[in-house]
Amino acid sequence: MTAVSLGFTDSARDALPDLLRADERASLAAVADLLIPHTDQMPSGSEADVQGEFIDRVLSVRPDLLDAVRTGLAQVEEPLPADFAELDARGLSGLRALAEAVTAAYFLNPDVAKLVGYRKRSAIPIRFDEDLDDLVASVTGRGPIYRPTPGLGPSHANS
Amino acid sequence: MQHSAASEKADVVIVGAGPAGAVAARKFVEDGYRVVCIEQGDWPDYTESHVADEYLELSAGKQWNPQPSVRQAFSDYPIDTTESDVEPLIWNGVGGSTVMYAGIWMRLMPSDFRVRSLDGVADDWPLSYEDLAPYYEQIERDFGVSGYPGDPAFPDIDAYPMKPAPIGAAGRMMAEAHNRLGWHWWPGSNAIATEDYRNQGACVQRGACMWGCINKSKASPDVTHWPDLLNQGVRLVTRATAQEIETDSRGLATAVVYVDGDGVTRRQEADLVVLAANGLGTPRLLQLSTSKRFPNGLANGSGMVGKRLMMHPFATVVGVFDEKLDPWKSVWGQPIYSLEFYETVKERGFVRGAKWNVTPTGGPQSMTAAFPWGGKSIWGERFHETVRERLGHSLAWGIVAEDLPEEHNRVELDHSTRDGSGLPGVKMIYRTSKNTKDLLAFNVDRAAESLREAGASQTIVAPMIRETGWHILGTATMGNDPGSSVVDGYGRAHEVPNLIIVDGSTWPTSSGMNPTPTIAAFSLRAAEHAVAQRGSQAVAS
Ligand SMILES: Cc1cc2nc3c(=O)[nH]c(=O)nc-3n(C[C@H](O)[C@H](O)[C@H](O)COP(=O)(O)OP(=O)(O)OC[C@H]3O[C@@H](n4cnc5c(N)ncnc54)[C@H](O)[C@@H]3O)c2cc1C
Repeated sequence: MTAVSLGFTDSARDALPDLLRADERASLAAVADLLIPHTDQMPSGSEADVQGEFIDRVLSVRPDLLDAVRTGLAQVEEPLPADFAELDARGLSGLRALAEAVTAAYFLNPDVAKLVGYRKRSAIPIRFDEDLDDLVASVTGRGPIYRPTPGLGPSHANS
Repeated sequence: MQHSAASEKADVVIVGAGPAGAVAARKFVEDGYRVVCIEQGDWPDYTESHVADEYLELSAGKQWNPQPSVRQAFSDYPIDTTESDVEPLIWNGVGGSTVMYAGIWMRLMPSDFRVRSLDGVADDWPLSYEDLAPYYEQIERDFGVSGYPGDPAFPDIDAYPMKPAPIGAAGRMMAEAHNRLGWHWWPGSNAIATEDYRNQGACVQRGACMWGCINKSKASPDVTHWPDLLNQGVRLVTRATAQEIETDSRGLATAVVYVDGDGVTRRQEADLVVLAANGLGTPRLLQLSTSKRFPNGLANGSGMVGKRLMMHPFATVVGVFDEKLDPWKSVWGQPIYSLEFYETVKERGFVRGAKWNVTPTGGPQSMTAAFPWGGKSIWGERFHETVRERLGHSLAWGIVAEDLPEEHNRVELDHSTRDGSGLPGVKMIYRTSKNTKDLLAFNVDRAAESLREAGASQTIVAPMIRETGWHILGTATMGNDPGSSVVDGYGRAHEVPNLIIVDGSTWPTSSGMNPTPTIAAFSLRAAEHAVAQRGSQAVAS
C-alpha cells in the first residue's frame, strides 16, 4: 500500500513525467481565466498558476483526472470564447470535470487559500458546551412530541 | 484456474463485515460459536486518508468517494442506475458503508414501527420500539455514541456513553432560531467519540468524518468491532465474494460458496448462514442462489426478494449568513437535529415526515458540488463573489424523507455486467412517489423558513440530490406472513429456517431516520434470539 503524495515535495514533483504538453498548459491557462477571472482582490486562474504547479499537484493525488482535463481541453476549440457564459453555452460534455480540476488547482495555491480564509483541517480539542440545559429548556418545556406505540399510553404528538 | 476447496465447518457463516455483520459476529462469538465472516472488500487503508492535508476534498472525488461507480475499487460490483432517481452510496470492505458514513446516530420513533396502525399505509413491523429499546442501549455502548439525553421526541433516551460534541456556531444559531419559532431541535447524537473510548480516539473536529477518520473517533466496525473480534477467534476472510448460498434437499442452508482473492472457489459450511450484505447485496445473493427447490431465488416464495426498495430521498437547504461559521472546525456528523416535522399531520396532504440535521457545507472545492449546493455552475463573473459569500458563511439543513414501500421499486440481477469475481451486477429500478415528493417539498419550505428566522441572507434549495442514496432498505422485508414477507421479526427466513438476514433489507418501512443504529440493534436482537433457540434450531445434517 502506498501513501499517495502526502506532503508533496518539489523533488518528488520534478520526478514526475510531464503530464501535460506545453500547448495543453497554454490552453488550460486560457480556460482557467474564463472560469476564474481576475478581480481587484483575487488572482485569475492563470495568475494563480493553475496550469503549472497546481494542476500537477491535483493530478498527483488524482491521476484519474488527467483524461478528463485532456478531453475537456480538446473540446474547447479555437476561437476561444470571450467569457464563461459563452463557453458554457457551447454545452461541452467535458467542461464540468475540467472546471472542477481547475477549481481544485486554484484553491491549492496557498496564496489563494489565504485570501479566501481557508486552511487545511487542523486538530481542535473538544470543549464541551456548558449551557445545553438552558438552551433546550423550551424544547423540554413543551413535553413529549412522539406518538407512542398504540396500546402503550397517551399520544403526545402535536397532530 | 479455479478449483473447489472446503474449509473447516463453522457454527455460523456471516456474509458482510459492515455493522450488521460485525454486531452479529460479536454476539455469536461471545456465546462460544465458531464464526466465519466472508467479506468481498479489504480493510480501509487510513494511510491513504487526506483528512489532515490540503488534498482532502480532492480525495473525496475518487478514493474516498461513497459512490461505487466513481470509486471503482476491486470490491465494487456494477450497479445499473439508469432507471433510478437516486445513486446508491455504499462502501464494500471491512466496516462496510460506515467507513464512509457521517456517524449521525438516530433511533427510530415508536410510530415508525406502527405505520399501518397509526397512518393507515404500508405495514407495521413485527416488533415494536419497546422490543428494540434494550438493544439500542447496548449498541450505543458498542459504537461509542456521544449525545445529550432526554430528547422529548423519544420515550426513554436516558443516557449516552459520552457527552455530545459542541454544537458550534452553526448549531447554536439554528437552536436559537428554533427556540424562537417554538420548533423542536436537539443537540446532535453521533457515533463519534468525544473522549478516548475503547478503540476510539477523541474527535479533533476536522469536520472530515466521511473521508477516512484517522483519529478513529468515528465508530465504524473496522475500529469498534473487528480488531477485538479477531482476537476473540472470529475468522474474517477478506477479498472473498460470496456467490451463492447452498441448500440441501430439505431446503436448509448448508454453506456459502465464495471466490477468494486468488480466484479460487471455496465453500464455507456452517449450521447457520447470516446475511449482512446490505439492501443491494443481500437480495443479489438470494437471487443468485437458485436451485430446483428455489427456482426464483432463495427464500423468495413470497416473491418479495428485491422488491420494496426504499432509498430516503434527500434534500438540502443551504442558508448563507453574514456570520463566520467555519464549518471545517467542528464534527461533521450532526451538530443538532430537528424532529419538528417528523410525525404525520394529515392536514399537510401527505403521510409521514422527515428528520432534519444541520450539516456543514465544506471547504472551497465543495462550493461547486452537488452536496449540499445542488451543483449549479458558479464559474465566470460571479465566481469570487459566490465563494466569498458562501465559504465559511453557510450551513445546511439536510432533510431525510421517509419513503414508503412500493413493489415496483426494486433490485434485480443484471446479467449484462460482471463483477471482478465473475458474478452478475445489479440493476436498481427506483422512482420517488408523490407522497415522498410532497413531503420533501413541504419540509424544504419549512427549512428555508427556519434558516430565514436564523438570519440567512439567501437560501439555496437542492430539492432532491441524486448522489445521496446512502440508506438502502426494504428488499427482503420482514413480516409475520410468509406469503408477503421474506423473514420474520427475528430475521429468520420463513422458508429456510437456518438462514437469518440481519441488515436493512429487512425493513418493512423506512422511517425517516439514519438507519444504522436500528440495523445494528435488530442484528443484535436477531443473533441473541438465534443463540437462545440453539437447542431447537434445525440445521443441515
Ligand atoms: C456517505 C454515507 C453516509 C452515511 N451516513 C450515515 C449516517 O450518518 N448515519 C447512519 O445511520 N447511516 C449512514 N449511512 C448508512 C450506513 O453506512 C449503513 O446504514 C450501514 O453501513 C449499513 O450496514 P450493513 O452492515 O447493513 O451494510 P454495509 O455497511 O453496507 O455492509 C455490507 C457489507 O457486505 C459486503 N458484501 C456485500 N455483498 C457481498 C458478497 N456477495 N460477498 C461478500 N461480501 C459482500 C460489502 O462489501 C459490505 O462490506 C451512510 C452511508 C454512506 C455511504
